[in-house]
Amino acid sequence: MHILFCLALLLFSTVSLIGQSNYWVFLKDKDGVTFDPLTYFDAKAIERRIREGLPLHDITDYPVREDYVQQVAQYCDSIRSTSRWFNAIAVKATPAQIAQINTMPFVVRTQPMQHTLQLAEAKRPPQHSERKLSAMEYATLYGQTERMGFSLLRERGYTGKGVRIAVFDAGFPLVDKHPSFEHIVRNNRIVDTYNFVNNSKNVFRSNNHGTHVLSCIAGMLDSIPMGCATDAEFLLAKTENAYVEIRTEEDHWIQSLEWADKMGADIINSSLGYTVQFYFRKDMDGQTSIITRAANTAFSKGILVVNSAGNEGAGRWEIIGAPADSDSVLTIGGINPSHGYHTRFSSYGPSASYKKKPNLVAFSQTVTALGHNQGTSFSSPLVAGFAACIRQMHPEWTVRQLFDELEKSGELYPYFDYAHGHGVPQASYFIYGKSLSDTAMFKMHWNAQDKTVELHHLGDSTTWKSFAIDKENWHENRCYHLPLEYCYWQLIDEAHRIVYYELVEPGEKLIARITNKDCDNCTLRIYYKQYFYERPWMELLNELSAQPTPSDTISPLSH
Amino acid sequence: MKIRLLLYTSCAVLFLSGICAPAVIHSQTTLLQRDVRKQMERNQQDDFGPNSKFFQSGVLGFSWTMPINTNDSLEVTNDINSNQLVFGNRYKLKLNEYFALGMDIVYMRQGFSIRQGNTNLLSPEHIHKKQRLAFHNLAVGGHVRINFQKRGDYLGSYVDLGAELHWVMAERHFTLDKVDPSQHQGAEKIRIQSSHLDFTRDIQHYAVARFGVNTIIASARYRFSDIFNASENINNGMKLPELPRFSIGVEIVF
Repeated sequence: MHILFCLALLLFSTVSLIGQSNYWVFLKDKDGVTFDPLTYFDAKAIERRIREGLPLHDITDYPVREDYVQQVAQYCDSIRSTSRWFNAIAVKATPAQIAQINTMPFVVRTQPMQHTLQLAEAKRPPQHSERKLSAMEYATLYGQTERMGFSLLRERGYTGKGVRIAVFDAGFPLVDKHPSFEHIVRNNRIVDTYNFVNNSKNVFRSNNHGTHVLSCIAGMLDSIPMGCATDAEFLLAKTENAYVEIRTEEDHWIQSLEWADKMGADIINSSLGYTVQFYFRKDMDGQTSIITRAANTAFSKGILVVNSAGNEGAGRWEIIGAPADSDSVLTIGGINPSHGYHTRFSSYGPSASYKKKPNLVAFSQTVTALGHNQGTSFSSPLVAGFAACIRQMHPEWTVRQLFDELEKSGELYPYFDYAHGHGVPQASYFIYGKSLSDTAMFKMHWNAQDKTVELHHLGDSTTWKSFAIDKENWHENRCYHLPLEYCYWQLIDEAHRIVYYELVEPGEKLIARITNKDCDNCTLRIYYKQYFYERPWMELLNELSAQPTPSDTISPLSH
Repeated sequence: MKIRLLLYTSCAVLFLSGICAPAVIHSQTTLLQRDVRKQMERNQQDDFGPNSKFFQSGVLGFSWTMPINTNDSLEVTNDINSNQLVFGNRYKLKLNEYFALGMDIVYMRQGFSIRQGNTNLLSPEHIHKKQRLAFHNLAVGGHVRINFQKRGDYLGSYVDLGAELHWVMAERHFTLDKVDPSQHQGAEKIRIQSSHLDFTRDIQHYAVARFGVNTIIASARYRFSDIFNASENINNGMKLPELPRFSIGVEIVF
């Protein structure tokens, strides 16, 4: 009996240990490889390169040397794919085989492949014919685009026309049949599809997460847009195998990026991320993960990559994942439509290298073609659709200009924090320009007893807009809170890094109570009712404490 | 009397000020606050975490005794009542990406539900409705952990192989019998609990194997030591046949 048990243990361990893994094999060169960009790239990809001032002959676009692939194939179990950008081969091999491959003269290094964890849950689709929206759903449906001021764009014909968006997800069931996408399918605006999991063209099966996501980019429900880019063109890539647990191999994602580049994508929406399973928090520095580096390469080729921040905000991990940590990726966090600020699960910034993340936010609870859903997976496509409208408005902008202008359109800009980024992007910025208030709606005084700076209302106190909605006249109602009523404040250290931030709901008398949080040399920033205020803490303190009657009205300080 | 009144008044004032003061003074509501310095410090913490040099977690497990009855075993029922409940702490020292050493300090409650039949040597004179042996053990265990893949700050998939030394803090023998109330002062059931048994050992040792995927673990235990001693007070001075040695179960770490 004892022996049997020990044998069972040994077998158990051995079976578990033996097995193949997936690796990246990075190659030394592309010597002798020929490449014709005019036949390889779609016309829109060439247009994009010309716009960005990029050479058509870029070594990173050249294919991997076929002779290297064949030699590596002899020493591994199978070749999964190749990457032009990384000059790498994705292989399935045992550790012993990888050791042999490492000795090949043209191999620079090998690296175990990671898996991807997708960030949002998808629910079973209800039948569309049974669909009846509640007043709350109507409010959300209206708000998810209107919170960004989409009607301003739509009235002017900016609906993403001519812009090509690639969507990477776990599957797009019903997109080819559902009435919410009929305007896209009828006009043949699904330019191409590819299933990188099965190596086929069929993406209209499997997990419906992608259908939810596409809804938030371009879907229509009862003639109401669910996303902003209702007239855009689409490339749909299934990169994830989502049956049991939502995982995929990262080579699918990188293959999809290269495919989207080839097919002329202007914008990529990706609602996935690597977090705790494969990285430490310190690795979220914008350069460690291979998909982060791939996203950087996509940006360098003129593609705007929009990625969800992640849903780890309330978990142990807390912070953004990869590739959202890349400073070339437009990272989108989530706000709760009902209160208008950070939704608790939305992952926080900054990146481990203190880069500003997330960049922007959008609704994280959305109505989609198949029901409703929540997660930053749905915030990201809302902004991707919005970005497509701006791309249509400014086709001449480089991707860097587009990225920067989208950030500037954030309702909180120039204020920024690691929960809200620059806030929700606003169409009004692109139509009318930025309008910061010149007048502070608060007065300050120094509370010597508590050692705090108090902000008090100047004029009327806050009045909240009603959340109630009349279903018949839903479009007449403001069905969500604007951020103007909240008070945002933060402390910035001498290296211009945010060390502390708060979001405060003002009371009837007191807007906010501010302490220096052991940071005497910090600078205080406040954003309240479109007024942006910035002042070194000590300077402010000296001025306020010198006031003879601190409880009297003090004029707001200039910024 | 005056002192009591003063005391009550003071308490009332304190209570009311506790309730009302925040409403009056702190009329703002903080919806979100983040200290980024702490967050960034956490990013750099290398020493403690699921895949860092040190890690500590709570462990809670439940396992079932496999009623594999060999020639020398006392038969147990094959229902859920023969089980083990474990909780305690698990400590890990990472050696490299694939190997770690671990230690457990756990409490284990171990129960054996004895099948009632002709071979019941524990109390051959009487067939009970139910009969049970229970042990309360304090255990120290050591194991080697083998991880299967490179991973992030995550336990990953792993196998633990190790051993445990159990000190039996207390042991109990229970019997339950249905009786005629007219002959037992109106009682329908009689439950007898015996403790400080002289026919059980104080020390037990086990081999342990676990297969874990992050916080969910399948576990198996095999008891190498015997539970019973020979005692002149039971089974005519002969050592009792052993209870089943093998159990399987699940654990979670938290």
